Amino acid sequence: MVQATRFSDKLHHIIPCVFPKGSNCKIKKDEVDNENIEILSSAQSMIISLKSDGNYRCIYTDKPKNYKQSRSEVSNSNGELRDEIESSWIANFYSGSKSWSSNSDENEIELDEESSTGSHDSNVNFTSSLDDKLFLSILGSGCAAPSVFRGSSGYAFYMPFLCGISNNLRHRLHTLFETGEGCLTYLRRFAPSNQPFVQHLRSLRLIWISHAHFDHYGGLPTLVAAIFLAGKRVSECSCSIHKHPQKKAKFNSSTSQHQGCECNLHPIIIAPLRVLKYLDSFLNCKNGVTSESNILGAGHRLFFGLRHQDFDRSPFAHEFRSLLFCGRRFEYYSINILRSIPVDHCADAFGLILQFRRKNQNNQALTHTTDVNICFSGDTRPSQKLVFACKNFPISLLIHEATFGNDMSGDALSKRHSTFSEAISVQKDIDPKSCLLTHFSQRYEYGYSFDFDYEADNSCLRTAIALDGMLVPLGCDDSISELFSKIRRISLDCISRF
Amino acid sequence: MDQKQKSMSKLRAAFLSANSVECYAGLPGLCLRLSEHMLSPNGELHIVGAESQQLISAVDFISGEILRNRRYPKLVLCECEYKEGEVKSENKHYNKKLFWQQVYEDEYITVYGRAYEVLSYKDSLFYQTYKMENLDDISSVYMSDKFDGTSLQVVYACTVKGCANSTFIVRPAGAKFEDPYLPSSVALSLDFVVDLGCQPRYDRCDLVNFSSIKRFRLEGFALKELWDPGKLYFLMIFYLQHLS
Repeated sequence: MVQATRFSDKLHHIIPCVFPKGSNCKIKKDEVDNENIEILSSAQSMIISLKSDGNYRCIYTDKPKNYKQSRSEVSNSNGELRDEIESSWIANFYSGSKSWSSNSDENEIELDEESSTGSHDSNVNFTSSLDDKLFLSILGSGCAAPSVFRGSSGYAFYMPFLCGISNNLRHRLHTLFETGEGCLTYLRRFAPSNQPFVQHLRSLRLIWISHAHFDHYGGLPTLVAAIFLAGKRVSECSCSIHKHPQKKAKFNSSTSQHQGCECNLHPIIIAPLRVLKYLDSFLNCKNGVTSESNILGAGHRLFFGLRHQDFDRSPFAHEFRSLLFCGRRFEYYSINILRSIPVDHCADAFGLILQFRRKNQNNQALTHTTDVNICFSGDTRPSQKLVFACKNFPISLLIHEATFGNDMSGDALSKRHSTFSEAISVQKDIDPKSCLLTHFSQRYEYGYSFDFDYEADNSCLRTAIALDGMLVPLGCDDSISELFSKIRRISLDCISRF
Repeated sequence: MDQKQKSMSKLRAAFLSANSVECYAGLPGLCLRLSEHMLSPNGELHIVGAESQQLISAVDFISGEILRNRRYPKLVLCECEYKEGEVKSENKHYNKKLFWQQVYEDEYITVYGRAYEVLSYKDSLFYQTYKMENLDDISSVYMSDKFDGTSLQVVYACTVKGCANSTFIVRPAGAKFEDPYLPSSVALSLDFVVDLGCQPRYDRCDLVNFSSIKRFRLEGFALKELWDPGKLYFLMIFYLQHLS
């Protein structure tokens, strides 16, 4: 755990926008040494230079002169560098025209020495085009066996919303794919600190589990208990638009009145039956409601649990579908499509197609050109069902498992996982704008060695390797693929170095 | 990796400091890793914790659904009961005696446990870890009026056989160790105390004068505020090779 933390801290200093600073970022002075500077230079992206007073400074070598960074760095008496402010949360890494974004008014704006010679705008516009994007945070990109470098599976989506009090744009947790062991810890570590951690727990709306293997749902009871203790949840929607679809239609037609539901209902968990039984057993509840002997008290609703098949088809799940698809007020996106696709791994194993649709200020969905379509393979052999299901959607991001290297195709077949080249072939079939490979076997520790085909294949330019703590902005444009084409090389550098 | 996993085959017992879910949520993962090894001496893994229906159903689920046909580990559940009795005490505020119970013994150690009741939300590891002690905030929760749950925590006293002055106590996070008496069957002096958890609560109520006793603090084997209650927070895992 300590090693993993230090590893992610190092990555933060190398690619701060892709690996935002965790809640406990500490790196000793002597660890940010000349070796790191060499790596960064080879990446032709950023150099960390140490000042004599112990503070450090980031310089983008391929960025325009007016690059700015908001930050506040202090050096404590122990010689540790510590960022007091989350300066890198929504950082513009790949677009030189924008400044770093910050949502903390108290942040200092400081110019680098290089940029001070160029023209710059003293009043930084905090609302860049990146601000209103969805963000995907990789909580764990590893497999079942414990490892200090890769956690169990977990992927968090952060939703932009307009904070009602300060009228600032912020991001809060909205959706989780997979909750492997230690999920709560990784959420805590990688969550943006622009608001308290409990606020993220309170805003979580959907947890989707692909299949009933423990590295995909082991952290679920702790997380659900934490969500309950975080509070601010209600059992029923007071505006009633979910129970009465005709009202919803009426609301939608009179757009000036309806601005989305504000009720913060309990999280919806879509998972195989075995996982739901596990939750009931460990939390001492029945169908998500606590039993009499529960230490949390009796009769409390903890979650709404649904099987994949039930969510898609059951008329009894209509209320939950309505609940999920109706966007919340002030949020920039709402879930428009959620489709679980059976895949080839074990019984009740599913992949997922998830569509986020952009809304306007009146909570009206915008045109389909602004959709963000996510395809998540779960654990699977190369699945033609998944490829077929994706044909109707222009996939923005494909998250595909690549557990084994190409030299272990036998193991991949017997354990019903995919090799690296098989994942790439699925990517070619689906043809997404970008692809993120994940769920690596822990036997490789840092990652398996990629063959030269990966480097030479042009179709792989939009493919990146997932690392824990990685932050990916999601949009309907080509920004992800541009980002991936840049971080691909850097990620490999980091892996090979550390 | 293999050597580390082999060393796990020495594991005999896991002690849970409370009966809340964050204390035993890591058990299935541990059992799955242990299932690849024949645990010494007879393949048993003792799970020791406060009495709780949740813990029973969790261990049943692990045995049935998680481990399924795997031969190891054979889970043995030992519950530490919550018992109260009147006792004459100079301090009128603490006139309830909680009984020490022997919860585990093998050829190396004997462990005693004593369970006591706490308000589950106030003393939960989640609150302590994530600094959620702002009760005003919780009071605004719609269900707060009905939020009356309590949970049990357990203090453990461990004596190492064959060693003089080798008794130590392990206390859960935020423990209120109200009774200074050691188990009557342990006629040894206290050697040291291990406090689990991140930060002790400011109103920690210890009647034991620990000033002359060496104290240690375990923070889940990780950095402060980053320890994982579910995954890492076992009260004690005895690697007997180290103790012996």
